[in-house]
Amino acid sequence: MSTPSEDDLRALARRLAEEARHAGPAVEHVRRFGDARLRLCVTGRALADLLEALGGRPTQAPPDGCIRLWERPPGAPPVPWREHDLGPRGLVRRPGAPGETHAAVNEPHALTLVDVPAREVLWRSEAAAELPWWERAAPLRPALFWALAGPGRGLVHAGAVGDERGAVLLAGPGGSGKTTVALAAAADGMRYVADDYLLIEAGPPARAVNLFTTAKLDAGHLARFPALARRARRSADPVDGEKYVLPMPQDALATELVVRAVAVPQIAGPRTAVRSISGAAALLALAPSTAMQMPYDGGAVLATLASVVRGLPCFALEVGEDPADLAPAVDEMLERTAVPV
Amino acid sequence: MSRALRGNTPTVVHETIDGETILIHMGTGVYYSLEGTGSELWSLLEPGVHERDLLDHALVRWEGDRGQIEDAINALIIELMGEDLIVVGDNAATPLPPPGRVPFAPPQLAKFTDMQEFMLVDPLHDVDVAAGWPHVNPV
Repeated sequence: MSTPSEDDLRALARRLAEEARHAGPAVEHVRRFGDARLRLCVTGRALADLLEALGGRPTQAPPDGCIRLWERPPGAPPVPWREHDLGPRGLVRRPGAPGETHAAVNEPHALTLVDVPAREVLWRSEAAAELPWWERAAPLRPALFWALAGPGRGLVHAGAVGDERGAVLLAGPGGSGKTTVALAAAADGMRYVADDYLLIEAGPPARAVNLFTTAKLDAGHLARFPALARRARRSADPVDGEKYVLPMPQDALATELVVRAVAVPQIAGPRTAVRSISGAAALLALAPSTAMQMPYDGGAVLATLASVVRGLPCFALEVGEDPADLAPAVDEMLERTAVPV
Repeated sequence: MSRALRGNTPTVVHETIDGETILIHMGTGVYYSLEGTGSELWSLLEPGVHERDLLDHALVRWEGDRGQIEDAINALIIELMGEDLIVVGDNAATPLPPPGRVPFAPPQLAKFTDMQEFMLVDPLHDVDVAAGWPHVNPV
């Protein structure tokens, strides 16, 4: 068997939908993420618990997309592809030619199968009780990518923090300091949208929308933010590289904020500093890591991100040794956005 | 003989902002930046252009030694083809007359490979499943 065809995915979608219906009673509810409304249909307690880390506001409005979650039953037939058919990040296939509508992503612990125009997502876990820690911390990323993405809207690898003035979008690859800045701002009373992944709505004005109610802390974060660290949790028997997961306090979370600036954190010298950079420099920090970590749309997110960055002030945020300096730096950027250049 | 060249889209996605063009090769995970002269040349190459028309356009657009300009543009074409950012195409448009004449600055392609690992690892075998993406299994 080579890479499956559109017809293969359609047939698999019918079979999986049937499998999901027979998996047991489902709990359903609708959440709003920015302008998108998403129905979540969950079978099983373990998968319902998974959604505790998912943000969004409950709504009674009709959904414009759906994710159906269930666990693979014993004896379920294998998928019609082999491991070596998979592309980046487990991408099996996405719509290409006219008339094609289905996409699939096969991660080791879960299969995501999507009717893209209908925003109907089937998400089947291999073993609900054995999901990796990062799936529990920031669940369903490929499913959310397909269910929520659209023209001018997409999942972005970025953080965001701010207040009533708006948000600073934090751009950069892993390890650049996004979580450090987001936690420092939250610890100082600012609102937290994300430390790693969020939904962007290009607007204008662009809005950063919360997706996950957690932050992921390493040992350095625990030391720098002891008050937050007391609430962070990790498995009793952690695997190598497992981070502590911090459920963010409800009063620290913002469901969405208007984006006023883009900051590119860089772990630097002893002192925190802010300096202006070009929009292109900010886009270089924002777009490649997003496109590479979620390559499901062939890089179309680049255009969305470029439209967000155009017209926004952009800064390099040199992250110094004292975390107490970071919230004032975010405040400085928000203040500078209010002043005509 | 002059070839028709074009941007290798949709494998390569690109956006230009503040006179700088960002290019991402979705097949390799390598991304690039072209500023100034390079960004302007990309705007001609991407939709499709004959090499001869590109050089003629350049000699009207930029002031400088003709040989140096031709050498620099030929070098950029070779580099862009080597990086799979442009390919030989079937169709080419004639560029519009340039907006003015300015001094020539040799184009430079900046290349970034720090995201390449994300594309090249096998998502099932090379990634540390327990640690999560993008942690790669130690060799």
